Amino acid sequence: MARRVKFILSLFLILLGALAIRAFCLQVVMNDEIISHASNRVDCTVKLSAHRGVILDRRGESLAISIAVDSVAANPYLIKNPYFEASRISKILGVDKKLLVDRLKSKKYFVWLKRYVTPSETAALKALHIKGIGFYKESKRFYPEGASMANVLGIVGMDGYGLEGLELFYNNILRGASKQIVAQRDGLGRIIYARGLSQDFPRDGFDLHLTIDRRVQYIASTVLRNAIQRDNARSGFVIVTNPSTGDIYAMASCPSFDPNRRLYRNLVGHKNIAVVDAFEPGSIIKPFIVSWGLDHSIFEPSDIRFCENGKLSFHHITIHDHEKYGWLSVKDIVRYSSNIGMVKLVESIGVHDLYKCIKAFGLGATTGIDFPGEARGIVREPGRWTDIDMANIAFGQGVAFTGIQLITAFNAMVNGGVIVKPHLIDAITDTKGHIIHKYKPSIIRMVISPKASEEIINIMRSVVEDGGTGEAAKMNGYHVFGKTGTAQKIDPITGTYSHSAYLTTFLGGLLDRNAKPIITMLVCIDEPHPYYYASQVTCPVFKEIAGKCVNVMNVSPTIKIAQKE
Amino acid sequence: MNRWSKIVDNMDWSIITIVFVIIFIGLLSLYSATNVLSPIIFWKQALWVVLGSFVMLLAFVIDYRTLMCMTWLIYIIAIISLVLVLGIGKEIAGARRWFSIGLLGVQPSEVAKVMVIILMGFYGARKKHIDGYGLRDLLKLFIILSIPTLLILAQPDLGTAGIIVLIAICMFFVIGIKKSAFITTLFIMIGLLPVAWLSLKDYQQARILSFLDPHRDPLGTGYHAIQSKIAVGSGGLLGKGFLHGTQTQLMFLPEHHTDFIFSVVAEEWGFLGSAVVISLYLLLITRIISVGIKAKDRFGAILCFGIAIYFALHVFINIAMAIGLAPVVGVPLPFISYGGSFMLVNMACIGIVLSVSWRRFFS
Repeated sequence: MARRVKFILSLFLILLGALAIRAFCLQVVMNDEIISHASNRVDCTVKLSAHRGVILDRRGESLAISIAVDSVAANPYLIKNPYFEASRISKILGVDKKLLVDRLKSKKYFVWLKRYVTPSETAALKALHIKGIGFYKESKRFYPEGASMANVLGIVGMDGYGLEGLELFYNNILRGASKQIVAQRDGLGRIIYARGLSQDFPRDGFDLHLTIDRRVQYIASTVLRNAIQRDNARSGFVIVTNPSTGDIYAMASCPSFDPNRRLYRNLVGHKNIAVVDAFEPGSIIKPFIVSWGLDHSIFEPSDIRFCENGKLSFHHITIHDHEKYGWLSVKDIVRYSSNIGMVKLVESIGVHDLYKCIKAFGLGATTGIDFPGEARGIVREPGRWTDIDMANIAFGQGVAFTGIQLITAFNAMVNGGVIVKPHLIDAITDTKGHIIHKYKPSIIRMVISPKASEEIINIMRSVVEDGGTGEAAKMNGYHVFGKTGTAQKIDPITGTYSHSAYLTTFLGGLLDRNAKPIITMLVCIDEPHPYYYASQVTCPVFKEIAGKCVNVMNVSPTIKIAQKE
Repeated sequence: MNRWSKIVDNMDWSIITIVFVIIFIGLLSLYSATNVLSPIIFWKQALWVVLGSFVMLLAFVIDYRTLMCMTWLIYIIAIISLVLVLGIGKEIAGARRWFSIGLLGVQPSEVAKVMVIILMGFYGARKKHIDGYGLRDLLKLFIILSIPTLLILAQPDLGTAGIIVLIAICMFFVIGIKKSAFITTLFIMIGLLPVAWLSLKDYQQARILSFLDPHRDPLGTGYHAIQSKIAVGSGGLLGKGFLHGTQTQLMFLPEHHTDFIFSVVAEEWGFLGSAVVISLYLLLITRIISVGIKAKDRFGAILCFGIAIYFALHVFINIAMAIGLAPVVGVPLPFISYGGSFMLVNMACIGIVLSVSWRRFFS
């Protein structure tokens, strides 16, 4: 037996010797190879995200800020008892327990349990001392102005990318540059920051300074919202600008949405109507055509045209006026908004020049405003215009423009004839306040002469005087000029102009002491009822907003700049 | 006084020294393996060492020859506990292997391993054949041993069942077997291999396939083997130092406190550490066999041989597993791996060896 035992013993001796040789091979001979093989498995990249820049109004008040909020995540490999922990966490966070169990049991190193938790939830969860639960500071966007600015500012998605509005347009500037570093992770997926890590941090996003004045924006959006409610309208927008610089003081849309509540179930109210929607302008097109005619000496303000007796048969169609105007001067054609008069004026301009006029004002073309999704509008090629088309264009039918186009063209018409690019951004600064980029008014081209500009302002002043269609916009102590518009909408069912759906507008402005326009405004309200005339709907809105703006803006330095110019 | 000094003089101190050196290394490695996530494991194991020492003393004090009389009793107790564990045992990771007593788990299959040694000793000592055992004796033993083996397979615990079969085969060889019977058995075993393969569960097959090529499923069944190889391989000649093994400390290696404890030793102490541990086991096994050779009766001798084989198989399979020479089957490393029942059984075995060694001085 001893012999056989010795045989077995020597067999084991050989086997254990083999183990020793194998260990030697692994540990000494193949050592480097194994280590390099292993490091392939543990290296990973970690993203350090940058702080998103803030958005400020022209006076430096915050419109969009990023606040650090806790988010809770777990490493399921470290969770010992998923069912138990899930029920505890579910009670605190109010997240469905089943969902939590699924996440905690998943074979991943990282799962979110809840994004953006409140400080009290964080405290309660931390008190449980659960191993494998982590808190991550995330940047959450907060908009102090709420719905008033939402259509312009847009929103930021969960992962820090701007999804709409200025947040989208200036995303790369706001976002900064996040940085990727190579780190190692351990067997449970935890990151180990290795020695020799590079020290450069991510570059934080730049701050945006808007041309918008928070106070004006607030006034505009509030007055607009009330008007839309009062007039049972579908929607509407207001743009308030500085005609000489292209600064946009306010751009309000209604309906709007609360950007601080994240409910993406529908996107109602997310649209910035002033920029992305084109519509048939109606009568507010009239001063543009008239100013062009004046500038090209096709007619004088005092020239007269026969406006028939309220009806004009024109190539198989009948054109109506509200009243029987008889003979009207060019000035009064605008003042009373006579369609027949306009048709006669357009006849003297001719198809070719009418098209040139529209194009010169930049209507039916993008303005290049710094906002995503700007619409172009519709202006057909003049070769296909019939005489009826031309007549329709004379009072704003058969073409479609956006709000921003109209206000930009209007600014050119009243500021001495120069098209200035509209813009929402005044300056970009870095986190320390150094100016990275300062916006300078960019003059695109001259449309009409300063003389014609002055003449058309005078004509439009008569609109808001007693007897004009815009009488309701008249303000005490201020020189107001403007043009009303009450455009029939095309009924989507019949394809003809509706007799109940109107788009009511007012395009106007205020003059300073030197008879220079200082503020221009476009008010547009869609389908008000039962009252739909501009004098009843948009003129009071203009008057209320302008009246309040004058109060707040007198003290603002920007008006002084505008006055210097 | 005279009797006391006799005990001291006749005691096999070399075995005790080797065992406690290995236990010391084991506790160090266990501390390193578990101090981050579950430090209580170290203290539990320390408790088991203390309890194990008492068990060893008990096994030493009791005359090993009483075991021969109690063979069937031990067999029946083992079978009953194996049946019971299938019914009321605690299920961990899909297997019922433990009785849960408070915080501690008791694993009857560990006791079954020693039961097999005693049983073989009982057989080998009772019948002495000059030219070895024949097929008929083997068949009888085969039936007796197949009951606990099948019960363990049902848990399921492939590693332990395999160890029992291997212990039995080696001990057949030691107690003497006819050449014809040996060859026949060998052929039958080879013939049964495909049947055995087919009766394995999917995950068991996957483990064996992963052993042949660990990279076929590096994040699944091959994960242990790969991570263990990385741990061992990255240790180098002198190791990364105590508590500095990245594979262990950073939790790349699962089960590093039980079946893969050798990887911890190898990673932190390098080839030097591995060589020392292997040598210590070699020394222990050699010492136990020499005790067996010197034993004054055949039963004591076979017990010692069986225990030597028992240790040798565990050590070999466990280390081979850690360095990628054997498939991943749950075989722990004696005195080093964490585990209460295993520690107690190992200490009991040492106690039996000491008992055999000491009693040869008495008539």
